[in-house]
Amino acid sequence: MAKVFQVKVTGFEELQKKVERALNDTVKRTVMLDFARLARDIIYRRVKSGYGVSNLDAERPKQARLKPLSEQYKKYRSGLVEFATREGRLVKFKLKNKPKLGKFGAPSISNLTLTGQMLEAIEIEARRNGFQLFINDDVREDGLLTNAQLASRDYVQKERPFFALTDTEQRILFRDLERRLRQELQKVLGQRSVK
Amino acid sequence: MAKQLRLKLDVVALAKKAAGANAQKQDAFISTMSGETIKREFAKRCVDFILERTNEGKDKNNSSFAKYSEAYRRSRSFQIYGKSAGQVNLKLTGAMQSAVDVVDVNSRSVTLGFVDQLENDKAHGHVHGANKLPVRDFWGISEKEQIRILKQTIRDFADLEEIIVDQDELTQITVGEQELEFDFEDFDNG
Repeated sequence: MAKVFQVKVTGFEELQKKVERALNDTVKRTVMLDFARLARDIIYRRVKSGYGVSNLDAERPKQARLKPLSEQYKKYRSGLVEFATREGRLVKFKLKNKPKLGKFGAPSISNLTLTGQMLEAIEIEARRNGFQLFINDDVREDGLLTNAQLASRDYVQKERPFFALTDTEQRILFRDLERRLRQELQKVLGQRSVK
Repeated sequence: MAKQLRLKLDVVALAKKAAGANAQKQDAFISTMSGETIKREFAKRCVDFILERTNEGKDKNNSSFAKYSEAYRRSRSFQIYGKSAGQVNLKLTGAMQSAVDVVDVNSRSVTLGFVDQLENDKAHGHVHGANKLPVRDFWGISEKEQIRILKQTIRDFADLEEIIVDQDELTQITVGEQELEFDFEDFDNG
C-alpha cells in the first residue's frame, strides 16, 4: 500500500499565542533600543561621511551632499585667519589656539564637525512600537548655545539639513526588523508539532 | 545602468526534488507551495541565506571573498563605518543588502532581485568585477540549499498563512523635525 503523505498541524491555537508572543518580544522596548542605536549610527556615519538629506519636510528624503565649507571657514579650521581691512589690505595670521577638530573632522571637509559635540549629542529613546532620536539640549562647551539649538533649522539645518532618515535608511531599518521577525517566527514554528 | 541582477527559483521543480520519488508526496509539496504567501516566505528565506553567507565573507561557492584593497582600507569611509580589514562582507552602509528582495512571485516561480537600480549597479560591479574592483560573486544559492530551505519552509509554514499575512501589518514611518519618530507598527513597505 502506498504511503500517504500529509502535513498536519496540531495545537494551532497554542501556536498562534506563541507566534503573537514572539512578535511582541521582537518589537518590545529592548529590541527597539537596538534599532534606535542603529538609526543613530546611520545618521552619525552619514554626516561624518559628508552627507545630509535633501529635505527635512519630506517623509522619505534623499541623501544629499552637505553644502561645502567656505574658503574662509576652511582656513579658520586649519588655524589661519584672513580678512581684508577697510583700506583693502589683506591681513593674515595664525591662531594661537588652533581649533581642535572632533572625530573624523578635517579642515576642508564639510561634515558638521568642528568640535564634534553636536553629533555626539544625538540621543535615543525606545518606545513600545518604535523609537525616538533627539539632540541633547545641554549647553555646549563654549556656553553660547545648546546642541539642540545649534542643530535647529535656525542654525546648522538652515543650510545643511541632516537630522532625518532617508528613504534608503528607512529601508535598512525595516529590512532588519523584517529579518528579526522571520528569525523569531522560525524559532517558534520550529518547536511546533508536525505529523 | 547595469543589467538587472535576477535569480529565478523554480518552486515547482524544487518541490518535486524535495519530495523525492513518491508521487503523492510530490503532489502534497507542490500543493503546499502553491500559495503566494508561502512562496514569498521561501524566497525571503533564500534572501536571508544569501545575505548571511555574504556577511560571513563567503561568495556563492562558499569561497572567501577577495581582500579589500589597501587604498580602501585606508579610506575615511572605511574608518567612519568601523570596518575591519579581515571582514570582507560587501557592507558599508547596508544600503545594497537592504535592496535585495523578492521582486516577483508567480504560479511556478519566485524571483529575487534589487528594488533599487543604484544598488543593483553596485551589486553588478561586485558580481562581475568593475574597473579595479575584483569579482566578489555573492549572487547565487545552490540547489541543495534551495531544497533545504524549501523543506524547512513547508515544515514551518504549512497551514499558517493567516499568521504570516498579519506580519505585513507591521509597517510605517513618521519623521518629525527635531525629533525623529520611527513607528514600525504603521510602516508601509512600499
